[in-house]
Amino acid sequence: MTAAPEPEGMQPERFQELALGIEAELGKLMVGQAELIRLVLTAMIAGGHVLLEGVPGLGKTVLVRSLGRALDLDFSRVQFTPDLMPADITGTHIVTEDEAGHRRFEFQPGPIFTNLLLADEINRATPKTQSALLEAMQERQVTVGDRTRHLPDPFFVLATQNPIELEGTCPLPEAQLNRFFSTVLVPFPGAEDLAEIARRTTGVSEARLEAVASGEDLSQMSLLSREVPMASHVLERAVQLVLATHPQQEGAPDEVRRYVRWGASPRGLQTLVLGARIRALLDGRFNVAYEDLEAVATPALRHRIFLNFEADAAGVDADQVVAAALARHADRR
Amino acid sequence: MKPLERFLKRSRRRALRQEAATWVARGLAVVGLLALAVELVGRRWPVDPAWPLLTACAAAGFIVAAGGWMRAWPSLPAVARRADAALGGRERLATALEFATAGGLLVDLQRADALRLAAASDAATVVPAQLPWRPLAVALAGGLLATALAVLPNPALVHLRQQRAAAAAQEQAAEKVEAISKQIAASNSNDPAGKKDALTKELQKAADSVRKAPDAASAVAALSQAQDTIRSLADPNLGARQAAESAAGKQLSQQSTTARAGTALSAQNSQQAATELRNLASALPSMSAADQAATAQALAAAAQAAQGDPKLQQSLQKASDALKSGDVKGAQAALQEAAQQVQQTGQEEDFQGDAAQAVNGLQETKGPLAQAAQGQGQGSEQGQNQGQGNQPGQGNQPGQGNQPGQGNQPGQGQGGQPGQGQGNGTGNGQPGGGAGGQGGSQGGQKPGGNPGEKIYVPGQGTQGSANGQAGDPGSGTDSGLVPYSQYLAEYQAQALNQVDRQLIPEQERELVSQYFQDLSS
Repeated sequence: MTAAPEPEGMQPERFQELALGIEAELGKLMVGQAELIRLVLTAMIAGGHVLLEGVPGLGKTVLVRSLGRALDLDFSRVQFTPDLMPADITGTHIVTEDEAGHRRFEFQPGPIFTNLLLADEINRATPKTQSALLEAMQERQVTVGDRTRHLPDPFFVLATQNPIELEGTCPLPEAQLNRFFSTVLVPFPGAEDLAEIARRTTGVSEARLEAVASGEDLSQMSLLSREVPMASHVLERAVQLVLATHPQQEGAPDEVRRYVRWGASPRGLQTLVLGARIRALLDGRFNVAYEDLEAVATPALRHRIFLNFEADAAGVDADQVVAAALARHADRR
Repeated sequence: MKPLERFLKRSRRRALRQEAATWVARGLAVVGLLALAVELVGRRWPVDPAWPLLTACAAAGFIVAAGGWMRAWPSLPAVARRADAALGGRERLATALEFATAGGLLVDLQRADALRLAAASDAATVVPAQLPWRPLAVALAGGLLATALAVLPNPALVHLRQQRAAAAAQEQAAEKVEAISKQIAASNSNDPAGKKDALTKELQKAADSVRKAPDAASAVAALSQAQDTIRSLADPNLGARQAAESAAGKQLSQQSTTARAGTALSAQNSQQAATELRNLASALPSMSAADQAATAQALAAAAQAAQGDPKLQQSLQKASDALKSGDVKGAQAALQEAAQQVQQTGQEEDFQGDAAQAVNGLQETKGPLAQAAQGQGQGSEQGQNQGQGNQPGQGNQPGQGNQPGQGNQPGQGQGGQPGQGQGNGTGNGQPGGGAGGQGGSQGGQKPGGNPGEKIYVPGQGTQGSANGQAGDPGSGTDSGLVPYSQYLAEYQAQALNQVDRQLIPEQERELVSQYFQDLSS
């Protein structure tokens, strides 16, 4: 064991204080979505991008906008449509004329040059436009023409998908899906939550969000979370969990062998471990537990598991496969 | 980290105790199941003695218990994981143990968090004491069943032991027969016409047959066959010849010149009689004419009396005729022939003594073999037969009055004569072991008296009663009685021959054999 460098300026107490503050601010507008908020916050602390899946009207846009306000981050929204072009996102060179009457090309930054990008209904754009996000999401930079430009730090993409209206959509390719830290389902609220939503949004007063953290705070929180100790047997469990999503592995459950075409990538393991560390700190612990892995396993792995036709025919989704892998390892604990 | 390690070590000690109890119970279960398997298999393929196998079962159980306990020895990280699971520690203790030497803000905080949990916890919560009921129940059930099987009779084991006893009895019988053969071969009795060699060869052959017999019953049959063969070697006319010599001796003893030869003949002293006859032949030339005439007359009377031995009669008559005609040399030659005949009779007597000894020895040998065969029969039939005990008793055989019979009904002895008991009874003994009725319980008194006392049995009586002459002066008894020893061997041979030929329980045969052995002793 080597002594890890102590993170500067961020204490665990401050980490929790910030996290709870962000969740509290978001909770002012997002009713009954505590787990959704925590998962999104976990991804943002890890520096990852989030794919939100849910029917329209559940507050996905509100969530992203609220995040921008609570974190004091720049916020942009792009509505993805079939005729959206890559330049509409990354920006383009336009001809401008100075006071002297000289014309020249000047780069006009697109909406991607922000801290928090909401890619609404990302699956409605063409693959060409979708792929324009690839470099930005992974490298935090865009290349237009012969010049590469860095994006602001921090940079997050929160994309949304409508799972029920799939005609005319272009499903995201595996490579792009793999760049999302997690895929979070936006559940439909319950009766009490619906009533609360009605009360809050139809009254005279409107909740006003305050910035409780900054981008720099998020970076510090990310650094601190990477110091959370993780015992070797817990890490081994995470490895076995990822391996269990591969049908060719010996320990794979029957559901995986039958329905999975390809399992989670090593990036899925990284997501799992990092998310579990953040989750432990959010829960006020200083070590990673099995239950942290279990809490982040489904959002971290569901978009990294590719099912076969038999799964489609049987109505099996990735969540059921991840649950089977979790159950297999819960038995072996 | 000392408090954490102490807590984990306390938990490990409890875990070791718990594992020890578990593995001891599992070892006992292994012992119980293996012992049960041994007992079950032993019902089909018995092993005797079984204690080495049972010891091996116990050793296997010990190995399982010790090996399992050693393999179950938990490491501290394993104990920490177990404690986390038991205490709901969410991997606090295991993480703290693994990062015990690491530094860093979060590591220090995590360590302190784990120590708080350890301090507030009890090792008994980590490893609660509990009895391993399942293996104990298996061990108890297996042990009880194995014990029950061990206590219950095992027919296969009984059969195995009977087979071994039969084999041992066969070997002992063979050795005994060989000892009899050597004893007879070493005796200095005369050997008429190589009969003694035939007798010893037959005994050796019987010993080999007994040793190679597949079972005790076959060995008994081989001995019975040997007895028949040995009896066939004996001269059946010996008794008649002896009677003829005795009668002739009595005639000769009435004449002074032939009195010594006559006395020896009548006393059944064949060797002495042959010598006296040769002396008489030598003395003939020196006798006066009157003595020669008297001698010729005595020889004629003796020849007349020796009807049971034609050769002797012919020689005596020839000597008488030659002497009457004055042919002394012819008379001498005839007397030499008569002496030769008497000598041969003596040798035959010796051989028959050896034969009787062999037959009796074989009969004694058959006793243990018969018991072994009886045991084998019980083991193989297992109650299918009611045994000989339900058969009517052999009450017509000479009873052994002093021996308690095994029949349910007492025999009805007809003890008119000493040793002539007539038993009538019905046996109802154990399966396979039943014997005849209590034959001759009253009349079957042993005729033997004190040691050395001469006992007489009713003789053929034809000689004594027909002649009506005075009894033997030497014995002082009625001349119609003869020493029983002269007939004992013949009686014994006939009796044993009879009991061998009929379906008679072996115990009854033993009684008969013992009866004659007591007489001869």
